[in-house]
Amino acid sequence: MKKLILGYVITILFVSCQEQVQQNKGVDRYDYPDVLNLKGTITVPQQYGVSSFSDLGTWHSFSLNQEAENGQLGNFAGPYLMRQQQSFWLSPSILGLQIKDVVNNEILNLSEAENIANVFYPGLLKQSFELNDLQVELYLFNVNERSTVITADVTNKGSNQEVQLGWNGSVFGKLNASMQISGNALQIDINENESAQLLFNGNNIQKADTTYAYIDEELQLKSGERTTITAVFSYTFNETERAQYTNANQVFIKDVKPAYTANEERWNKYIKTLFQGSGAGLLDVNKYDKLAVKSLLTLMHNWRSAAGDIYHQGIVPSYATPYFQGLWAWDSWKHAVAIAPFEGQLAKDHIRAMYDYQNEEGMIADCFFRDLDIEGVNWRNTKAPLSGWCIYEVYEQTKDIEFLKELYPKLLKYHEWWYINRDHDQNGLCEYGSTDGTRIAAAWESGMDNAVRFDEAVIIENSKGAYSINQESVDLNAYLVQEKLYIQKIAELLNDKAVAGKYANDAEVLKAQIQNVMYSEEDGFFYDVELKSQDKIRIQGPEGWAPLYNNVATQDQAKEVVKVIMDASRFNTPMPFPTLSAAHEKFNPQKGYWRGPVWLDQAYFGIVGMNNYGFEAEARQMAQKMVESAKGMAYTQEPIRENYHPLSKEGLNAFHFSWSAAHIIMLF
Amino acid sequence: MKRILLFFSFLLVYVGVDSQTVNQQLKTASKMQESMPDSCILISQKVLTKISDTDIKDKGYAYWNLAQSYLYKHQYHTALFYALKGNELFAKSDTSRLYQDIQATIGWIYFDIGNYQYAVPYHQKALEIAQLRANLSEEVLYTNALGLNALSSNHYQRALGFFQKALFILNSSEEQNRSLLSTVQNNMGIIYIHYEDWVKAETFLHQSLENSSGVASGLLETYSLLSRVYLNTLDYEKCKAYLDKAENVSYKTSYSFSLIEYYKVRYEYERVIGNLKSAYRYQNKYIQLYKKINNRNVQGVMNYLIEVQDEKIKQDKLLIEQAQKIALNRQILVFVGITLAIIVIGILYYVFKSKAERSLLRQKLLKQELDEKEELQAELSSKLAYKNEAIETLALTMSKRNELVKKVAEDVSKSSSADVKKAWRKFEQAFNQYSDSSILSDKFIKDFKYRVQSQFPDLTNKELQLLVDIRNDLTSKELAEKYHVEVKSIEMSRYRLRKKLHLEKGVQLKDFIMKL
Repeated sequence: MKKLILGYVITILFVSCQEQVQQNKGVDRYDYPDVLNLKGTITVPQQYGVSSFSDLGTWHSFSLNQEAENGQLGNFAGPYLMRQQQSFWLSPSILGLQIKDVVNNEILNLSEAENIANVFYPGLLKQSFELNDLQVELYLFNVNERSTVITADVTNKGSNQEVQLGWNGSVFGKLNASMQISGNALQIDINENESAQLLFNGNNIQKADTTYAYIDEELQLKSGERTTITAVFSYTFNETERAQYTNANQVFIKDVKPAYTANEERWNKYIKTLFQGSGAGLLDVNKYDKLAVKSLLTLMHNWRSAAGDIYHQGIVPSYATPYFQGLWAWDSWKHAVAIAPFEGQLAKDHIRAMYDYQNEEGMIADCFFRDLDIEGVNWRNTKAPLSGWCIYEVYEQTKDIEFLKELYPKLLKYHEWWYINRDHDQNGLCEYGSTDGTRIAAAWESGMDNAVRFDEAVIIENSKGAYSINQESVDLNAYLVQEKLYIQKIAELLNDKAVAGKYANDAEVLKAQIQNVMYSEEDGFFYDVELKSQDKIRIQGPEGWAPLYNNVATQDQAKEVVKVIMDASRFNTPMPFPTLSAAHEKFNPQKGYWRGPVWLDQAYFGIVGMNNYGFEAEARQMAQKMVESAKGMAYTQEPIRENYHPLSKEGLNAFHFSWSAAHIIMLF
Repeated sequence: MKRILLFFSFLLVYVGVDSQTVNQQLKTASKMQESMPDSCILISQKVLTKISDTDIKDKGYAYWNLAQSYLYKHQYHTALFYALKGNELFAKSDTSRLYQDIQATIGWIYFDIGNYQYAVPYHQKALEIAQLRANLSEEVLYTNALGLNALSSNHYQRALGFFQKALFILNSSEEQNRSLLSTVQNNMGIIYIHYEDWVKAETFLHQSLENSSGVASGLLETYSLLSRVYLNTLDYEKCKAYLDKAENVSYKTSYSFSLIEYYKVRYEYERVIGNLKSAYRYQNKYIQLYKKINNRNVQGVMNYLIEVQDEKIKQDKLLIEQAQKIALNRQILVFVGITLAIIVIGILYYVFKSKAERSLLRQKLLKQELDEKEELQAELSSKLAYKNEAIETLALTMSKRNELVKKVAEDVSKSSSADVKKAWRKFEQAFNQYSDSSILSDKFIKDFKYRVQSQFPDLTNKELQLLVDIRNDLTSKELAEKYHVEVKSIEMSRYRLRKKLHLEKGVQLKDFIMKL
């Protein structure tokens, strides 16, 4: 009997181990078809609500044609040109495959095709169908930061045929005057600098009004033989670039195979990395595998290369929201940390991009854009100090000491800038503020634009071009403690012992200051305090758990804060971690922005904060509750949203929002 | 044939004229939407009765007129009712101007009642149709509308995005639409005022003034916004100048959004300047107008609509729940019914079965009993028959004896011997005495009487005796002698007896009695 039980147990163990092995081994991008719904029909240039695909930071994107299943085959929808508030769809479908039966002298009607598949895989749009004994497979993927390849494999499954392949397409009306042909390229001018370009493998291009057609040479396709036709679309921002990419892209026309293989390997590696998790493991990556892939895709689709007034590549908050096609200080630190395990270079450049907009005093701009003529740099304020965390975390992933050396002095300057420009009474506790003396910009500096805690704040001048509000914020100072510790670590790595010692010491002092001044024994929560009186501004928001996330609170204080977080009438709402206690009279979950809706960064800070102080069960429970309750998040093709309604759990505001995705990835 | 043709052509003309007048009437009505909403409503409703259900275009037009008129009358419920009715008529893919207008109207209704989120999809749809129709100014109009939705929801960045897009579309078009440009620039000014970006706000507001078409409501808003900019940048001189300009145009418009903006800036300015009396006056005006705009009525509409919707959802849920309950109950009922039926049938089956068995048993028993009785009866009747025979034989013997006695008597009478005669008399006396008594046994008579009485219970004792006598073979003569009555009266008695025994004609009374 004992032997029998033992045997049974061993069998179970064996079987479960085998399954485990299989789960981790077989994962590649083809296991994740259509994680996001990228299907759409483009009828007008300002088409709204169609999600799209991009990769490697192109400033254009493509979608799957919704009508493919209804016979509109041989093409993909788009491209969408990302030009901030002036974004538009260039074409319903710029490249459509044409197949001519030479013997019968007729162009095949693709709508008669069979066995149609139209699928989005991570990093790839793929369409396949069969017609007239021909098996057609159409691929779309990006090959560099300006260009997309569309290639068709045509295999003859019947008897010998004579075929002629080609492309045709159209652009929306307004641009017809500016199409021009040169060599094997069709150039479409967007404005005096920008242009879109199609590259073919021959010169037989014709254009009329808003349409063009390209026809390849006739060819014999013997039974079982395969032929490939490739075209490249690129969107460039000046004449030099256009020439550069015209030249560089010729190689794909001749042989697209190496590019395809590289694309496949790169994406399979991403997926593999994703399933290794980040270490914290507060969410089960195998359980929420689709959500994990969706989060990664959200970041990848928001990847924008250096262009125009953006000098290094980075990740924008949302490609789908025109005013979010720029780089923001606060968002960027989060994006870079999340993407570092996948694309170290992108993470590093993302940080560099932000430091490109560090001024002489050391301040980093709030936000800036590719085309500053459309929307300028916001120098009126900066954002909360998370760049030390970001630089250190990216170093941890890339182990690039040169990168640390490059950023170290800049980081020090930025950190010190706070104490010169944002500490009105020089007591070591900083305030949010602005450069132009407006209260609104000071609130923006916190990132929590309209948080209730700033409603009564008054702006005061520190020095010329430096203003503070009359309250010392708990989140700001908690981040500053953490940043001092990161600076200490970096200084140690770079053998700068003096700085390391000083910052370690400063961190301890500030930590004690926060514990003593900003914690309310009565409420068991941390608050901002008024500048002179040090009276607590007793409005409960996510800033109250910033000391937990930054390891600033004492264990006893943390215990009390966790109680507040876990209170269903305050922060443990159906979708947990609202940006204002649900018990507050100004709680407005629908329109509140920072007065109710759940932002995943603050939720992440709460979860990690609880975990930091040993409340691991609570942390796991809340992490799971968050992803399970948010509508459309874990189990559907719906895009990840900017924020979520804490009561109805519905998604709010922008779609495909990067930092939401970034923080989900960090939880795995 | 000619007549038929004539009739048809007449019909065609008639229909043509009629449809033309409907359309014309609707067009006329549409021009009165804002100026004379009541007339527009009257005409549209009248026309609506003439339109057939299939004529979607005119019907939609009428609904749109009604919706717009009610919107101008601030009767949002009704406006929304008609607009949604109009909306229902069209396919979602429709691209007509009318459908676009209806979409826009629904958007504006939601906008006016403060539910900006609901307005968005309708303005979006209107924008999409405008784009498909390649109507640039309408495209700008609805992009601007979307901006206003966002602005009113306090989503300034999104609003700015829409206004910037509207400017982009306007600038990239060849045709100039300066009044639209002015509106959009004015709205950009609002955003930058909110952002406290005074330089940009000033620039856009000045541009807006340059492009203004001179409509008082628009001018008032822009002047007021500009004075707000100067108030915030502490340029009181310029502020005063624009406030004065605003004051002049403020009398030419009743557009509350512009007026309220003006009163607000004015009172803030007067307060800053220290002109408290004037400040008080404008504050009063502001408060009054604010109350008017934000009266509970208008605000309530939204709440009401939401409530109605929630209520509907609740009711639907309730209905579904009830339906589910009913379905469940029905199932339970059916189940219980079937179970009950089975039980009842079972019981009935059992009861009937045992009852049948019991009655079968009883029948058997009864039959047995009957058989036994029959047997007994048969035995009895055979006994009876035997006795009867014995009696008859006895009677026969006796009548022969009587005849013998008669013969002897004749012989005796012929004899002269006194002794013989004396002895004879004695014998005759004894004999007669003996013959008086019944020759039937007492037992037989008792049984006979019992039987007859049970068959004919209303027989009198006399009649019974008569029966017994007849059974005893006594003739009428003998009976008359016996009872010392006339033969006739015996015959009468016999007759009555016949009647009581219900004898039919032809049946001998004696025969019948003998069989009893």
